[in-house]
Amino acid sequence: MVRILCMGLLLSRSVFAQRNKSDSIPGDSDIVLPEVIILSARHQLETYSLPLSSIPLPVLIVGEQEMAQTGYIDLNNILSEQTGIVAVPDQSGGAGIQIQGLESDYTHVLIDGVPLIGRKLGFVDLNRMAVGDIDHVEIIKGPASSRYGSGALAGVIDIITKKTGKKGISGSVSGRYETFKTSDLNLNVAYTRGGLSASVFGDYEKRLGGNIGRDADWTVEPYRNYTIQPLFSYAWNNRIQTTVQARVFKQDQDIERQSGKDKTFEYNIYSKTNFKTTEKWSQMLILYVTSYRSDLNIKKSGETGSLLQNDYREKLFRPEWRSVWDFNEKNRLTIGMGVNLNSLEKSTFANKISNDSYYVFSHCEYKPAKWFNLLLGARYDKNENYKPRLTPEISARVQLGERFALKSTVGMGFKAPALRQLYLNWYNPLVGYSVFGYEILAQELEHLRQRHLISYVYVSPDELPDDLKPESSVGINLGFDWKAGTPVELSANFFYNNIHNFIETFEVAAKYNGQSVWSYRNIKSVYTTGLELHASYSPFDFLKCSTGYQYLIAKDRAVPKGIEAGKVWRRDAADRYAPRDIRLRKKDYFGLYNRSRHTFNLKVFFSDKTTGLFANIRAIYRGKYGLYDTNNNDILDAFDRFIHGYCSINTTVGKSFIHARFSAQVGINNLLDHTDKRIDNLFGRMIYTRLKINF
Amino acid sequence: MDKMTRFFSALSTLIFLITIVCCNSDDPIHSPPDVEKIPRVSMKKWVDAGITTISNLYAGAENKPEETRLDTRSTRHFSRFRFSDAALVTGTSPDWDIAFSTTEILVNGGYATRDDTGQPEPDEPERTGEAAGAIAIGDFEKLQSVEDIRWKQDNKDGETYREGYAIPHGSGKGWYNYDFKMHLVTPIAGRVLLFRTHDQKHRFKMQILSYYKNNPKLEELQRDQKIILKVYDRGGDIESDIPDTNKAKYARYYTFRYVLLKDDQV
Repeated sequence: MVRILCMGLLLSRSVFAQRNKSDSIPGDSDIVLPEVIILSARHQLETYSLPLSSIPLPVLIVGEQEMAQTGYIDLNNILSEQTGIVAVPDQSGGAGIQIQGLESDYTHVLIDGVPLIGRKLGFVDLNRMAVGDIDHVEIIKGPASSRYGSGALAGVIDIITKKTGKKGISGSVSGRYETFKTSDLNLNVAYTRGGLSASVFGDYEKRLGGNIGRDADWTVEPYRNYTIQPLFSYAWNNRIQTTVQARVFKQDQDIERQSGKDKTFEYNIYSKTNFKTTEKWSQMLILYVTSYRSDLNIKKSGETGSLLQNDYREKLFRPEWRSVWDFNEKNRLTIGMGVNLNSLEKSTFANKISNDSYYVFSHCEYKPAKWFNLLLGARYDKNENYKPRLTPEISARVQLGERFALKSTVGMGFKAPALRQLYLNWYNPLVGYSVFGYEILAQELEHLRQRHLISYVYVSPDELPDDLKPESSVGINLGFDWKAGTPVELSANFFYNNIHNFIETFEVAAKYNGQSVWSYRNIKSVYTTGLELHASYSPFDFLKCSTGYQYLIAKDRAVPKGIEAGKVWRRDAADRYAPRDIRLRKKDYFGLYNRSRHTFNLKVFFSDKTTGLFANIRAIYRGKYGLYDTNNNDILDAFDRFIHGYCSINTTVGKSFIHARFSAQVGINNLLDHTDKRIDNLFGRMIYTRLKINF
Repeated sequence: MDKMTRFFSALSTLIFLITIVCCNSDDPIHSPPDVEKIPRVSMKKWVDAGITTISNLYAGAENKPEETRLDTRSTRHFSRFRFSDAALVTGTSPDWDIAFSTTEILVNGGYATRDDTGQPEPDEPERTGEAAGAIAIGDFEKLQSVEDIRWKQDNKDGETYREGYAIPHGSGKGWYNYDFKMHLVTPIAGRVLLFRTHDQKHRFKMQILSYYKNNPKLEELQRDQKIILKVYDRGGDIESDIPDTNKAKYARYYTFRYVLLKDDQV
């Protein structure tokens, strides 16, 4: 019990405060922390044996309770209420998030420890995940390629799905209705007996869409999402256990303004077998198959022919084996290896591309003293498309007294060039420009030359380096946790990420049609640095307040140099026939686009166990940021037009009845109805109601 | 080398003449530009405090904008301009200083660009003068001295052929930035274009104000371009779906101002 209590305190950093498991009402998953979370808190962060309390990394857990009480159906919304995570719409139009100032294509997204595939323009749309079957979400901030390989520069989001726990048959049905005619219905049935447990989760979400009201052009596109997730787990004996899990997801999205359709179909099958060789040595075999396809078809208005057909097929098969030695309670060594057989077909690629790789990794958890523990790790990745990489990591945690602990980690991250950056073969028939991946640039440019379409070559492919290098980063995190007194906890984390070889588009050649040929190149070197603060205060069992703040600076290193050299100017065109050009000063440079210096959240959760009443109010502030260089000097400076800081206030009220067999809630998101046409993911005030039955 | 270049310029003239003579209506690619048809609005000019401002100098091809978007080769049309009397030069008159074609600016000095086969591009006007150009970084109104400036002629380094215009072409390289997201061409702030006239008599400094008809405010241009991009997105037709009042609809209309440099000597 002591241990569970201690877990509860730790989790209260981000999960609604859970003091004591014995207070919980059986079957009441909305009001109290369900058992699974406590179990997972002890064992989770998948790869570590360390309890969460000893993990020296900046970790954030978002529990089922917070997800249930905030009433969201989109994972993205839940994450965006967490300190240090900012929701930003990505270039592909999907829902993305920013961690430590890096966009969502620098975040590794996992489901139960294995990657979600199907990145559009490099982004995973987080709204593909139905929240109803998520047990909790683990977020590790900072570079983590030593554990997860390519792509984990900003951090890792691991979505842990629900595992069955209770004996016999149990389940829930839940329905929800929201503004823009969005409805969601889900069903969860689980069965457990002896070593066998099985469950199935189904979700249907539908949005009819509609007009936001202020402008005929401004509409929310309709979609339909279907999810089915069966899970089967069987303990053969007390040494061997197998879990097989699948997820099938289908999305039909209408793009009304383009009279188009975007269809997505995805499945994952995941099997994990644990085998205890001896008491201290165990093996784990993971087999993972996933396939993702999407078909985008845009028609010219009033015509039958297709204007733009963009198909995408990706497959991944990953066998992975892990071997874990628990030398004693304090020290653990993990060694693992795996193969990724990955292939991709796109209508914008000339051929089917394979992207196979293998990897070996090892991490060691070492606790030489009660007050000190170390985490060492390294991973070696060999991919057929780029040079092998070794990424090490070291983290340490020092406990100073009962209440105070220092944490520090130095890690590396890398992101291999996306296949689109290597093999894209795209001609935009609407505007007339072409974009070629680095690998095919020389040959495609030659084709265009032979057809006499190229008027001028700015950069000859011969002058470019042989290959496009992976973007790579070194990140430092340094922070503390301070339990200032029973109801008060504080934590802080300073971060600094230095990223080299940032890949950007560049103009290769001019075409006779007045447009250009573009390709990708390692150009920039950027850094992101900042400070994250988090505090929580739980004076009573039924009340928890928390607040978080992030200060962020994200800059391109070349810009201040260019300003210093006097090359960067701005135009004051108040008199547009006699504009004045003024030289920029270094302090005028704001930083990278879409980054807010200040983000802030304040959340108050109220939950009374005796009456089953709960309510919460959350305020999320996003400070000013620039989306676009409005004065056309290629950088974001103080004289550009910014998006002003704004606050979304979200609130929920609910009650559960009859030993929590029923629960009902209503909620309002974006209470202040703040909208800005420039912000894609801000829909104005949304009201929803939800009903849930547990059985 | 000199022989070579002479040979090429002679060849280019020959090819140019042949194309003019031989072409018929079935071969629109090599038909000579019909200069009179081109301007949709007429160029305006005025002089204020010694500074000449030119507005709506059209630098488009003879193709309609719709056609130039297709991925086919089109013949460039060059609008040739003379500083001394702020006039467009028509016919075969060689006394022009600079020429505009879409975002390219040529000077009447140097060599024609060569295509992959080594042939001079047939659509470039023949450079018979000694005009030259350069780009300085600074405030257009304050910049007075050009002592440090190294004059360049098109595709010429000393007496040898070297690819590249005096005013480099390409986004961020010469006078403009092309924005990949918004597909807008905007002049780079702090770039002052310097020109020597074809007869080497004068030196001018020049500031480009806009690439769009009637020199719209940047804010309005961006707002209107968003509307155009939405229509593109939908697969609509720009000519019929976008009103003529849209400030981003008509590109290739240069607005610029220029003035004689204070230390103008030759």
